[in-house]
Amino acid sequence: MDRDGFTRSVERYQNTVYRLALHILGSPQDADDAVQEVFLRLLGSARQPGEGEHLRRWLLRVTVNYCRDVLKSPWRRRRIDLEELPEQPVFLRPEHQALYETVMALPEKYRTVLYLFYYEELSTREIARLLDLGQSAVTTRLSRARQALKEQLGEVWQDEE
Amino acid sequence: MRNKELYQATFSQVRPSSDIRWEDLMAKKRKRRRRRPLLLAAAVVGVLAALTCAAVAVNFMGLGDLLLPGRQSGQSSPGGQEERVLSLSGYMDTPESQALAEWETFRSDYDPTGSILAAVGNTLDEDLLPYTCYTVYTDEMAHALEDIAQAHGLTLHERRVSLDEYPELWDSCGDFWDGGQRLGGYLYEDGGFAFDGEARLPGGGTLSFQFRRSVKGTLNEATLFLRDLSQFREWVHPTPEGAAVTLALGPDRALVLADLEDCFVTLTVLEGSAGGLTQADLEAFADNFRFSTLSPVTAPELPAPTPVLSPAPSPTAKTAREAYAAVLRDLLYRNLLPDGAVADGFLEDISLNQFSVFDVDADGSEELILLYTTAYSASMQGSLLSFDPRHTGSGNPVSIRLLEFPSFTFYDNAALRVSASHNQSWGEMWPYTLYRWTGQAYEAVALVWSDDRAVMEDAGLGENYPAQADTSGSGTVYYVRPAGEQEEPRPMDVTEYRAWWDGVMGPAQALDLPYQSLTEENIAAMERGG
Repeated sequence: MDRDGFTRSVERYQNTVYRLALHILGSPQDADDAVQEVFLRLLGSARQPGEGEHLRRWLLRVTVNYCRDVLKSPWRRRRIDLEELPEQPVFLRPEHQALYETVMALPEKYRTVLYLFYYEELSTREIARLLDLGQSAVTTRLSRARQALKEQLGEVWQDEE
Repeated sequence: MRNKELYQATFSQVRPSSDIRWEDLMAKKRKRRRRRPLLLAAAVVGVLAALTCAAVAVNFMGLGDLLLPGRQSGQSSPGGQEERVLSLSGYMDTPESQALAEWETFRSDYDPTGSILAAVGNTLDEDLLPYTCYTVYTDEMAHALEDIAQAHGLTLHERRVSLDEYPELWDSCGDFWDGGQRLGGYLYEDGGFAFDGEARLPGGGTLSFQFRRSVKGTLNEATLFLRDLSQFREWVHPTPEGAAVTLALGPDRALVLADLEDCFVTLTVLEGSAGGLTQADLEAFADNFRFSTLSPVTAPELPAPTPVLSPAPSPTAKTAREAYAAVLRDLLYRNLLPDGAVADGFLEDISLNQFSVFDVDADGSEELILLYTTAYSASMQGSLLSFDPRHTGSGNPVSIRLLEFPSFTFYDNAALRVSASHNQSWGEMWPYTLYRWTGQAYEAVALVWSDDRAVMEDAGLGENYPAQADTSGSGTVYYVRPAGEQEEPRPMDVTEYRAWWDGVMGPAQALDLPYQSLTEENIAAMERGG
């Protein structure tokens, strides 16, 4: 991949990779590392995934795989509670702040499907394929995650089912 | 606001703390891809796995059967998984692997801190020349190697030749593959060989891999370090010509194993499923090899060895120039770099490398500057060496002051500017590292690069040029990252950059060192004081 192509990919997708990694890893620092690693893999990939939607799917897949490896690693630094992190984003609107904090307090398996469904707008079938899960497992996780958000956020989170 | 909009509005505000820089990633990539010499061990420190339970259940021979007996490190890699040591000579119950395990154990116990190697330095006793295919640098090691080989009924390699230097010898390796490009490689006297290759994939793109054929009956010092069992998948794959090979696909690496009648073939693919490599890709890659042509092995007729023209370098050289001549002859005749590494370059005309003997730090003693450039960028090496006239004992009187990319500019204040191997900035000025001489050591001061408005505009990135920092309107801004700092430096105007340079360097002027080609004639003239 040449420098221009790589720069375009970074500009377009580094936030996508970061947000997905943040949802899986729950740590801004680890998500920053994930962005570096995923784009390093893009740079070193023998088979360039092209651009556009193909590249986006490739990056989502590589991010999921990398983050899973990180989660399995005993070398991963101890998870720090959100309150201890100085560089948490500050949101102007309270409902954004509340949603962020509530999502990030959920278990990883719920955070990941929430992000892929609501932000990346993948179908449950696509999420199942990406996460190597059954579609019913994704549906179940999504349902429980929505339920948790509803319980925590009240009116901020609307009923969907 | 619907849930989706709320979610997107919230998390769209979340961004990474810093931008990805092409040059940073390229630097990391280069670092990861730095190849070790094929000669000493086909060691690849990567993310791989051991055998899965399923594989054990069906009892086919796979990665788990390559584990080197008694040589598992028990240490964790930075990635967290325990590293495994695999033999590239055959499965664990073979004499080749048993002997290799004993030899590896001996080596690690014999010189655990590397202090013996450090004392031996570049000096290689002529009696040890028969063992250049092994990590042997003392008589004790040679005796141990002989004993181990004999105990297992194995022979030792006598010599190897470069397939770059003698490309006609590829014919003796057989017509086993034409699916891409062969890069550097070596052929042993028993018909074993190893090379790096780039394979073409059917759907486009290439795969980098390392190939090794180890002939049974010979002790090969070839191992592979692996980790992360859980991500690995193995299966037996019949190739179109009827060979049954074991394929193993991990996140970052993949392997093809073929246990043939009189040899063991290992292909290590430097890519894995995380990079998009699929089962079908790996099978297509394996199908390109005609394994039936790799066995039986016919021992090649190697060209007569090049006579050693120089005496063994003396560790007790009385003068700096004697000692420096020994270092230079190590490279010229023995293919050894000043740090003891094997020069794994193209082996094109070695006289293209250069050296200079010059008092670069104005302390009244000459230093040796050796620029080894006949190699891939990652293997190029510039060395700055000094001689200790008070040195006594059997160690090496020559010490390494600095190893860097071989693009040196010395200054009359003893500072040194080393240009980077690649320019990945947007500036015409070549990025460089500035070193200062403390009187004891060379100490990095800063890494410096630049951005040019014109270059960025040509690339369609003109709007990213930090024009606000270019207060003098020169069209170039500079970045100075002090040594030890990781933060992205702010762009500087040319006036500020010059002030920084003047503050560090003062009125220092560049020195014009008299470099000479690496030839025996030039070495001898230098040694005589010419």
